Amino acid sequence: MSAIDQIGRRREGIGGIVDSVLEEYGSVQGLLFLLPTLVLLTGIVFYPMIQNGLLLSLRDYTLNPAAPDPFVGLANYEYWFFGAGQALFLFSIKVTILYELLVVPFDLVVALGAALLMNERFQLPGLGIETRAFWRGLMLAGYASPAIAAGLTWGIMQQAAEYGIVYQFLTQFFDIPASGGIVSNKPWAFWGVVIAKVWRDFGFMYIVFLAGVQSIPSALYEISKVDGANPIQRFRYITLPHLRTVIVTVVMIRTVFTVGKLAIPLATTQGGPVNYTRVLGLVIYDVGFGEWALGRAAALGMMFAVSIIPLILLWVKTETEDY
Amino acid sequence: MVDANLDGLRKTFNNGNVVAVDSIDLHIEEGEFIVLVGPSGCGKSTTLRCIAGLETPNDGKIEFGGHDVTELPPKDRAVSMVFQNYALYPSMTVYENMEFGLKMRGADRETIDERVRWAAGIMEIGDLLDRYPNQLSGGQQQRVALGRAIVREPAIFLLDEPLSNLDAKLRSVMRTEIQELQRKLDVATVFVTHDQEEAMSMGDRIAVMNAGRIEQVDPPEVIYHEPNSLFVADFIGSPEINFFESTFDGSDTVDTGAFGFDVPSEVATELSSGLDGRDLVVGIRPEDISLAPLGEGVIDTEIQVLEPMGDTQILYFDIGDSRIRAVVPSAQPIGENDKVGLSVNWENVHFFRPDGPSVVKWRKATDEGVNTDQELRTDQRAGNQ
Amino acid sequence: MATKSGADDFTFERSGSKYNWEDHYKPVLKYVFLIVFLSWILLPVYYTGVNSMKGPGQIFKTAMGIPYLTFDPLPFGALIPILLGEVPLVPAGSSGSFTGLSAWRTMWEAFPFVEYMVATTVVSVGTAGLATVAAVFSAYAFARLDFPAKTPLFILSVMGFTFPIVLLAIPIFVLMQQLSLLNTYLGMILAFTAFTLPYNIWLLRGFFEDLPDNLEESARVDGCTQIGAFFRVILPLSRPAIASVFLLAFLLAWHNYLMAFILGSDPLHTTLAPAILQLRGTFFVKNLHYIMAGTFLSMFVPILMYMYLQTHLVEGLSSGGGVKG
Repeated sequence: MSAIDQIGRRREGIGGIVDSVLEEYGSVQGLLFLLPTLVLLTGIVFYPMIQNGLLLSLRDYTLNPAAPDPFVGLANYEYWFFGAGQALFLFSIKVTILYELLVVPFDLVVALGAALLMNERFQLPGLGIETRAFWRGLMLAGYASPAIAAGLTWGIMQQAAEYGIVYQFLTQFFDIPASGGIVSNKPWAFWGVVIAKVWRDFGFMYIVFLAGVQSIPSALYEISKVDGANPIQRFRYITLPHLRTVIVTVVMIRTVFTVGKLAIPLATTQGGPVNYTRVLGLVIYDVGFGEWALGRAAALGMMFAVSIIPLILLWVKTETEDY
Repeated sequence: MVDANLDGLRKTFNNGNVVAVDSIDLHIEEGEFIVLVGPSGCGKSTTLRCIAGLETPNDGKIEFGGHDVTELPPKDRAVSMVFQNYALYPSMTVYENMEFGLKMRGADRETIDERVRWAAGIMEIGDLLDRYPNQLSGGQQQRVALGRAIVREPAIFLLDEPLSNLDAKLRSVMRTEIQELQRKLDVATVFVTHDQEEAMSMGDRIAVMNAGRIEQVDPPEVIYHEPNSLFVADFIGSPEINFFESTFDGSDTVDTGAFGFDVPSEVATELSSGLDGRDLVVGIRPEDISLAPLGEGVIDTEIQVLEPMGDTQILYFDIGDSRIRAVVPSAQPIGENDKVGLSVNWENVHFFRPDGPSVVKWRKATDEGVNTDQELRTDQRAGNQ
Repeated sequence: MATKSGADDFTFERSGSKYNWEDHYKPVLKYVFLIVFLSWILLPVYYTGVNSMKGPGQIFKTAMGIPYLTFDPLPFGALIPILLGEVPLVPAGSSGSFTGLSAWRTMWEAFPFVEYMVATTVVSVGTAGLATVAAVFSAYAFARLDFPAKTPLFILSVMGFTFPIVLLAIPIFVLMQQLSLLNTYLGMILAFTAFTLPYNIWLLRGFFEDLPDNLEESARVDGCTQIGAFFRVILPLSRPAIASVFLLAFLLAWHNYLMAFILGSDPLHTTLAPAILQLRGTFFVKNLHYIMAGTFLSMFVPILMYMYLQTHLVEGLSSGGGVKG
């Protein structure tokens, strides 16, 4: 087959027609590639969000699928704003905000510390075997565990009992009531949830920071040593500035992703004592699937969704900036 | 044997806001090695990508051997291409990389194997066939990329800055190899580079591009000795040509500000008819400036910087506002801050209109033989490299 | 003379303390930190692990100790069935016993752990498969192809993943009820895809964007169509990334509590996470070792997976991507 014969030789038959259609309408390919995703997301996210989320919040849900759900207008919203749900609504907003304000910064500090530590070498003395990869993997034990299992275990360890080892340890330093231990007393229950949550979640930031720390050129540290910087100065003037954008992004992601989560409080304290650790997500869960008042839960969910949309848009904006 | 023809090729981006290639006409002969050279953003790569079919031109026509291929996708064009970063498929071995193009075109097993081994033999990569690209050095990857491109007996061979990722020594080796390879294959080749030295040493003809247009297409000697614009004169040649913004009095004298000189009547006639007003730019190559005893050259000045280059040395002077370069044999015993006189080999002086186009070269006007001097120049260039 | 006196301007002495802080304390300090960190991180894993092998009495006595025998040593041969949990050393309920793996065995046979494991695996594999296949195509389109309304479509596609699952739970529950897909694997797989798919799209788009542009171009010059270049060149070299994304989606499904709980009220069609929470109601304090065994088993598989994944994660994320937890 000489070169000249190859010019303009195209596939025969159907294949050739398909080829030429796709070449002619280049954008068809993109939409074709997108089709499965769009069909799936429309079916399981967009359609139900509108049909069953928004519209359900205006109805009174009945457990019997055959019976129609009566239309109640804004009564479900009224319940939360002015009705019997008002106190719980306001209180759980407060809990949610406080929860975010504690969990995210703790996450950040622990993850940064872990990433810096895991960037060091850990050679077995004498043998010269580098063990770092192993420790790096172990650091992810919390992140790898199901949140429910994590919350359950921490909850048990925080009880005031012989086996409640975290309680046993902390009670030596703090005056924690023996009846109920950490999980059933204010304000300890809150901290109990935070510890479990940070244990479960810091792995995410840790991975991102570890990648960030590794991308810092070692020449920067060497030149700063030549310039006479001590380790703290090196952290302050090289590591931290280098990680700044990563930190901002990750804190934002974490804030968005923590806000609706309920597994840890549910498994650790069940929202107690009373409503002391009942975050908004847990309220929706309880009202919806405990009391089966799905209309009310949907109304609360809608308000929740609207209030976090600015957060999500902020995240999407940073994600698509380089786009 | 296939030739290629570009006719009024035009390519814009951003809905026509950026004109990358602006009405290019170019004919590539059968078996010719043509180099597209120009600064980054001049449209040379876009031109190449249009030839490959990776971009569809907005206007104009591309023909291979008389076939109109303008609307054909790359796979139907029988071209092969080497990319700057080689674009070897990371998940395939060297062998699989090389056979890929043949497989896509439905060649049978035996032909594929024969062709791959033939190409591997030429590129001397026979012992690398089982390796993966990430196990190869930069030079080896380059050879594989070339091998992959020649496996298919392309109608047109396209190379997009293939040498710029190599170190200096390897680059000069590969330069020669690519030239030899091209001679052997005898296939029309388009080579894109931003390096004028590479262009000068490799091309049968060089197309100098600027801002989406081709400024000049000619063999290297012609490009060097008879640049048809300020841009070409400036872009080709190292160290760069010296420019003097000057005025012509209309009869026989040119004044550069720092010094003046008389031109013969033939040159004066050309200047009078070629210039719009009195302004012109005088271009003098650094090799055409030589040292003279104080007071005997066109101007006396002080050597600011001296760069020894081995058999030659580059001198820098400040004349008026501009820094002037001269290349002189290193035998001359001089040092920085020495005061010297400069003389000029007037026959090789170029005159340009201030807006770009060349008006005339001194010797062309005086109509002397070109050949003898050309060889002399080529030698000198070789010495500089 | 002038050159000689230049050196007098410098004093070549150690500044600050006599000992170099780094050389002397750092090697020790980093191990101290490592031990402190790891004892916090591994505490729950160790705690559930050891206590799953103790009888309640021993847990109450020493929750942190390793399981031990309280009776005189038995003949060696008699230990094996005890270790395997076939014969309890002392009747259940009495204190001070070493239970071997009998709690695990109880979990396995009676809880019914096997069924939960099967259900969880089926749902997780199904979810990861569906989400990964769909994401490979759309992520590639977002990263490398041109089409109208690209950015809005991208935002719409990944929005779902920033959305708290609890907000999706009610609409999806009602949808599945309408479609009669409650308590089915299919219903759960579809529901889990709602939040794993956007996540996979996001990660894979970053991966595809980082590939060199010329690969497809080279393939097209070599004779492929654009789609052919995707299948023949891009897909094969993306295998490791696709595998990582598949595993991450698998784990996301494995870990999810809420969706599994609301969609699978039938114990045999729900996954491990809600099952673990049921443990608390089913056994509690008196039989703590059962809870410990179930919890430990639910942590074990994903921890192993993560240890395998961790190098890939760090590499994959160095371009600024992320992982949802």
